[in-house]
This record gives sequence, C-alpha cells and structure tokens, in this order.
Amino acid sequence: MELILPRKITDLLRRELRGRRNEIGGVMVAEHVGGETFRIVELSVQRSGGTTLHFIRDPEQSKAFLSDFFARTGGNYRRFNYIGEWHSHPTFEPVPSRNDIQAMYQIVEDPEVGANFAVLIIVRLFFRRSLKMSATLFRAGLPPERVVVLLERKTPGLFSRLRILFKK
Amino acid sequence: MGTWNSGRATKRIDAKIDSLPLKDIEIKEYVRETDLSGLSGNTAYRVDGVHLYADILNLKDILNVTTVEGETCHKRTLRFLNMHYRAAHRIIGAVESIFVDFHNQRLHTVFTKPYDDEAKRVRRAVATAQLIIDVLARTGEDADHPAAKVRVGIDTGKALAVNNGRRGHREPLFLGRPANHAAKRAGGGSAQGIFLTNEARKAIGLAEAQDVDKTPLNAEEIAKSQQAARLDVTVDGIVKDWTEDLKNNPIGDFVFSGHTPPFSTLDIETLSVKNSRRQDAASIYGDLDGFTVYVGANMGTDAGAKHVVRALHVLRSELDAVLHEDFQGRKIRFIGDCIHGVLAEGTAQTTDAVETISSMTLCAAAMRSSFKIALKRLKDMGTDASSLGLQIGFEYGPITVTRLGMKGGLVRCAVSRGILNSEQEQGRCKGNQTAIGASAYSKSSHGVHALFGEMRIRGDLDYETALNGMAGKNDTVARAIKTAAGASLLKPASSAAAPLSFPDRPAGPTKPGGFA
Repeated sequence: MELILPRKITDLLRRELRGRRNEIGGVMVAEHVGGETFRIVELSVQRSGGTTLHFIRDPEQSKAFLSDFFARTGGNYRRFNYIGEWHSHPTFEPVPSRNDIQAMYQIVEDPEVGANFAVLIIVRLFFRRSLKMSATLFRAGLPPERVVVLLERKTPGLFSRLRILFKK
Repeated sequence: MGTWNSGRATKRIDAKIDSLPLKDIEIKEYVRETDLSGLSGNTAYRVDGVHLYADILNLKDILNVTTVEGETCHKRTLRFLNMHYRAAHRIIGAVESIFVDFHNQRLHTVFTKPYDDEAKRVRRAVATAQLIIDVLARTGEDADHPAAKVRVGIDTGKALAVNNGRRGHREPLFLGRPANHAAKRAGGGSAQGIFLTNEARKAIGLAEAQDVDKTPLNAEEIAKSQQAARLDVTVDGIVKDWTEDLKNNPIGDFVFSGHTPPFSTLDIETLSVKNSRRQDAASIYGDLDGFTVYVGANMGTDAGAKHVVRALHVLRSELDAVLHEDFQGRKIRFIGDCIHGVLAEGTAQTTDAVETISSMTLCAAAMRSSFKIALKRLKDMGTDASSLGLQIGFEYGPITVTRLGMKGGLVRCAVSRGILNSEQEQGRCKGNQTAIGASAYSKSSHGVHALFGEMRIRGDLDYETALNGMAGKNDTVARAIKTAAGASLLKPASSAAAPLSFPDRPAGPTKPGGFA
C-alpha cells in the first residue's frame, strides 16, 4: 500500500505538535487514488484527551469531523472515506505500542466501524521542525503491515523554478 | 485489557527521575504559621507535631447490616461516613489541627499548635480524640446501623511533610515515624480507646507502657488532658449538627450508577453523593514495605531527606502509571507510601469478573516489575532505596466510589467489603509478596489459580512470570496479550489478502479509541 501525504498535512502536523508535551491525535480521511494508492485529504485534530503517554480519541469529535467531510464530498464513499487514525508520541519512538495495535484491531474488527482496513500514523516532532513518523496498515485477521508514505511536494514557486532552470 | 513492557516503564521512570533533580528539591524547617497546603512536588518540610489517627473499628459491621452487599448497605455506610467526615471537619476546624486525609474510616490529623509546647500538643490531641469518640458513640442513636466504635492512635515527633500530588486535594502528606506509629496504634488491636506511643506518653508525664497497643489511657488521664486543653467545641454541639445533617440528608439522596470501563476515564473529582459509582470491580493496595525505616534513617540530613522525597515520588508515580496508563485502572488515592486503586473490564452494567481478575493479576505483577526497575534506576542516579519492598493485595466484589464531606472540601471515598478485604490482603504480605482475596480467587481463571495456589499468596510475582504462567493455562487475557505481541512483529501481509478499497458507505469509529 502507498499513502500520499500532502505538504499541507505535514505542515499542519508540525504546527500542532510544536511545544506539546501531551499526546494529541484524531482520525484521517483519504481519497482512493487507484490500485493500492490512497491520498490523505484531511485529518481531525483532538488536542484534549492525551497525557505524555496516552491518548484517548473522543468518538463524538471524530463523528462530527467525518459527517462534515462526507457532506462536502457528496457521499462518494468509494472514493472519499475514513482511512484510519493518527496520534503523536511526544516522548517515545513513533512506532505502534501494544495498546495501539490492540486499538487498531478493535477498529478493523468492529462491524460498526465498517472499514475494510485502517492505517495508523504515529508522529513525533524533533527539534521543532523535523517530523518523524510511522504508518502501519491493519486488516482483520492479518498481521500489521508497513505502509510506504510518499510525501507530496508543493507546486514549485517562481524562485524554485528559476533555481531548477539555473541548475540545468 | 492492558499490557506492560519494560522499555516503556524504564522511559517513564527515567523521565520522572529527570524531573526531580536533587539540586531542585528543597528541605525546609516548619516554622510558625507555615502554610502546608499546596506544597510543590519538590519541597518538603520537617514538621514537629502530634499525629492522631482515628479508626472506626466496626465499619465492617456497618457494611454487614444486610446479608447481601447491595445498594442499601452501601448507602447506609456512605451516609454514615458522610456525616462522620462532616463532624470531623467541624472538630478539626475548632481545634485548629491540620487535616491530612480521610482514608475511608480512618482519619489522620496533625497538631502543630501550640508551637513550642509538645506536652500541650499531645494533651490537645488526647482531648480531641475523646471528643471524636464521644460524638461517634452517639451515632447509633435512632440510626439504622450500630454506633461506631473508635480506636485512636497518637504519636509525637518530627515527620517530613511533602506534596500529596492530588488534583483538587492540596493537603500535605506526612512521612516518618510519628505518622506511621500513630497509624499502627490505631490499627493495633480491636479494643476501643486512646492509645499513645511511649514518646507521646513521656511528653505528658505518663509512665512508659510495656505494650502500648494494650494500654489505653484511663478516664483520669483523659480528663487531665481535657482540662488542660479546654477545647472550644462540645459533644452536644457536634451531635446537634449531626442530627440536623441526618434530617437534611435522607438515604435516598445517594444515587449510584456504573462507570463504563475502563476506570481510567473516570473523573473522581466530579463525583458527589448524588453522582456516585457502584459496580463490581477489583480493588488493589500496593504499599512500600520498610519506608518508615528508610525515612527515619534519611530525614535527619537535607541530603538524605532529598533522596526520600525523590524515591517516594518516583515509586508512587510509577505504580500509578502502571495502574492508570498500562492497565486503564484508576487510582483512588495515595495513602502515604501506599496506592489504592480500582480496575474493571466489561460494561457499566455487567463486569466481566474473570477478565477483571486476570487483568488485575497482570497489573499487580507489572507493578512489581516496574518497582524493581525503579529501584535500579534510582540507585543508578544516586538514590539507594533498595531496602524497600512492595506488598500488594487485591480483591474483587461490589465497590462504591464517591466524594463525601463538606461542600468545597469533598474527600474521595471508595468503600465496600471487597475494598476492606483488599487492604487486609496487602497487610498479610511481606515485601516481595502479592496476595489475592478469597472472592477474587474463587472467581478467577485456572491461570490465576495456578499462580497463587491455595494460600492465595505468591512471592516475586513479576509480569513475565504472571503472563507466561497464565497464558500457559489458557487464561484468555494473557493469551490475547501474547497474540497481540506476536502480531506486533511487522510481517508482510499474505498474498491472499483482498485488494484494498473503501466500502460504499460512511466508515468511522463509534467508540473511544485508547492509544499509548
């Protein structure tokens, strides 16, 4: 599986993680681009409910975020839908803990959630700028799988285009 | 279902040690009118005072007014304790002692006034003890439970006052010999009366007792203290307020509901008489063994006292983290060097007894594993607390959690037969032992049975031992943890997996997600 992460999402994560000692997180929505490639469109940011070591995602907040997203995407669920969860590890390596793995299996095994799979992204900010992350795919009855994350570049501005031209 | 791992515990412990550098810990002498409320986590005072513990001996009888431990007996007990807390609050306000804590039926208060007269402080404590006894003796009048039987322990000397670290509760915590010995005298037998340590006896000119736990003050000795103390509050005045309280607080005021597990999401600070919790759960007590001796040996010098403060905060906070963060339980309170907490698995209406007891067994074992790591990390950082042990006891049954007392100063209270039993189970342990109560043992899985044996007690029960032992006997919780641990080794997905796609309907979580 490939997951495209747009620049606006990484910028948002950097802004939200800066200076925070408690875990934050939320849900992610994505666009199915084709094949096994998905592109994150938006993510919700829940700033409460976390400690330095733990984060509890509030279902009400995520429900409101998802309802709004589905309304804006016209109920085109095959293309735009919930893709999974994210949270921060401000003090630990950004890799899934046992609790994270259990929580993700509960999600993919819960018929009420209705997802065929779910991705967990864990992020950590180093030196206020550098974003380190892991992305893991979960499917019911299957072991977790690492996800290839592709960082989407910003459209080059005039300065960048001139620099590219100069380099040539 | 919670899990524990040594890497996470070590990081947590190191972070706590790092947050308490010795150079930042301040040890001060308690002087006239020092305000001990709202102490910071790295400040401690040496306080010369008289410690009073008042214990209600027959709380079990009050809890046992009905055969079944149902809502009625819990309501009666909580209403009784509510009025007891209010009466004690009035008494403490009148005699100007420092309120430390109510741990269910056990009151701890400290007399620091008059500042330069130890004998007068002890006499004031004795007179207050008699006042409490006289008030509670009349609580059976027209009530639906027996009158309370009270045993008071009193000691005098220097103790270390530190921050107790509870949100909404800013009382200090007293560590050291006088606090511990007063508590021991209060819990030293089943006879009612006022029991002084020999230090306290000497302070008011009494002869040393051969056995302090069997030598209560006689009527003449008490009267002498009452005359000297001349308290401004009377039994009749307090009982009159009590009677008013009884009239204004009908038993129907207590409203119970179950909390949807995990207990880690329970905000105890929102609870009250009309918003109390009641459900089946496991209750645990984890007590540092040898801590009073450790405090006594180290509190004489500033350097030693700093190590005491650091060891206490690191060990207590790690035990709390194991309960709360690793196993999603909830700490009710720290009682000195002891933690009391609860844990449940299931729903608000139906607790899964077997799963709850398995989780609590693993939690208790994880506490011991974390405790060992914490001692090692503390030693590596120069704080040698290796003389300490950890006694753990737990039990299963109906529990109540609420807050009682005066408006604006409500005190946490979690009481039931099971909670009293869990404390007793902890009391029968040595520093390396864990004990399970009879009720929990009878409802537990084969895996838990095998761990504890018929004596219901086990030495050196750490997390790996418990997890492997229970999983080997098909304990579902232990097996699930092992399976999840195996799954966490990130393997490539099998080729048989269906292609990834979104469903043709809105997807999304409907329940809270707990991540760590």
